[in-house]
Amino acid sequence: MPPATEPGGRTFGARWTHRLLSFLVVAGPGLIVMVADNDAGAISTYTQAGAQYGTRLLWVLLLLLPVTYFIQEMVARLGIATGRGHAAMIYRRFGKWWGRFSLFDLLLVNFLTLVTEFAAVALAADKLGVSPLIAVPLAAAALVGLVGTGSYRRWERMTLVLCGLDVAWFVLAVLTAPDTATVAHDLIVPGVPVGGVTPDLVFLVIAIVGTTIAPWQLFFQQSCVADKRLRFSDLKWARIDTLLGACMVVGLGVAMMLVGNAVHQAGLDYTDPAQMAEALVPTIGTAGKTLILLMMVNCAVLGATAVSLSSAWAWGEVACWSHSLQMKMSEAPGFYASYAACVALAAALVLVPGAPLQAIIVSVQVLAGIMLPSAIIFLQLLLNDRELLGEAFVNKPWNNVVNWTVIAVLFALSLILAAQVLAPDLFPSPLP
Amino acid sequence: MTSLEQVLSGPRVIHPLDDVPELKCDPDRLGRMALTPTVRWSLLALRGYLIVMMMLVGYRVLGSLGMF
Repeated sequence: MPPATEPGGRTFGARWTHRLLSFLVVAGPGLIVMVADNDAGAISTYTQAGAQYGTRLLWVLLLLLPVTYFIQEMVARLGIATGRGHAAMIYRRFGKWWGRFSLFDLLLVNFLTLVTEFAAVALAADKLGVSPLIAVPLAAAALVGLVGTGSYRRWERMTLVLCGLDVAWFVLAVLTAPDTATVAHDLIVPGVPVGGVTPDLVFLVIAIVGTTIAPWQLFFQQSCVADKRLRFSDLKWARIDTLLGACMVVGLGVAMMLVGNAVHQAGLDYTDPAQMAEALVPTIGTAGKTLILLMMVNCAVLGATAVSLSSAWAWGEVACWSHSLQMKMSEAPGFYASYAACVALAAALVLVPGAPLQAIIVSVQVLAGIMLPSAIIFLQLLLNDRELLGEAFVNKPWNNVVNWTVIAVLFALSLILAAQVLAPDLFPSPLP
Repeated sequence: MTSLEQVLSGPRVIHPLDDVPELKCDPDRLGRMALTPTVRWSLLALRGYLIVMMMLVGYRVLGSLGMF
């Protein structure tokens, strides 16, 4: 039977191949931002949730899938429409005060996040028998080398390979042999763990939300879309890219929670992901332990490159420096210098004996709590800016209903999280 | 002719970085956003939120200094 033919003379097979290629050249920013979001902090949060509450909080992750997609889709749309990053848009449309506030807050929270990424590298390397004094500088050098090739495409391909390595989390989840019926049930049916609603549980749920939707993601994806120079016609592919990324971030989160669930099932203590890897040797073997530690390093490196780039792009946009991965180091010295300085300083801080890492982790939570609602408010206002975007790119009414609801919930959660961290005495003792 | 050959000889798939730059929506020609009621109330709510957060930070700092 001859192949079905379109009016233009092309077969349906050719049309689909054309579509696939069109998608492949556009894909990248959405996948990278989402997979990189499962960084060192995310591993810690998801595995802790699994270790403490088993599979009972899986539904929270599924609930976050549309939320992450809606927020990041807006960012991609704005980036394609304007060809500018988020920091530049805030600076131009809301004035210098809000622009500088957003930039300062972003740089601060990103730097502290970067410190936690290197702390994870040091922790995992130590358990792997490699001195942090070697592993951390090596990771920092690799991070600078990753972006310094003067080619966006080279950076994107290498980063996508690192993203691909994250599928090892699915292997690890399978190795823990979870009960599939329970997993399916807890993923779909919302429920409260045994013990009821306690401040600890509320804190952990908020931490899961805060980990899955981080402020730097907004800045990163918009700048990345702008740097890749995505066209108006690429929007549909960018949406699919973002949707795939959202599925990946939630899927990986589920896998990490299932690995933590193995600790819960075995009745073991949980301190941090590296200790968890050692504790799970009887369940997943030495190879499984090594894989968890290597994945910690991989996730931390991915998170570090994305976080540092979001800082460097934002700084470059506001300071009007040349800021593109397509440029050589000599062509965009400020952009590359700020990236390298962030990486080097964070790596050095981790190696300082007695560095206040716990205080830094708490600060990251609080600052992210402050940053996220403000960044999303600006995003929502910009996506309703008809004067700038015209009718083609502004939010539809249903977009606004969904987004204002998400913003209200995030505001409340961020406020509760920051209040819990800053003033724990204001909250009652655990409920019976 | 195979599908792939048709694709290669038909409409080409051009990488965005190899394509001609588009004329984007330009914020520079517009200046600052007009203060519509939605914008005004949103920024007001944001300021209120930031003030509350700063008060919480102050509460924490004073608490850690032993003033409560």
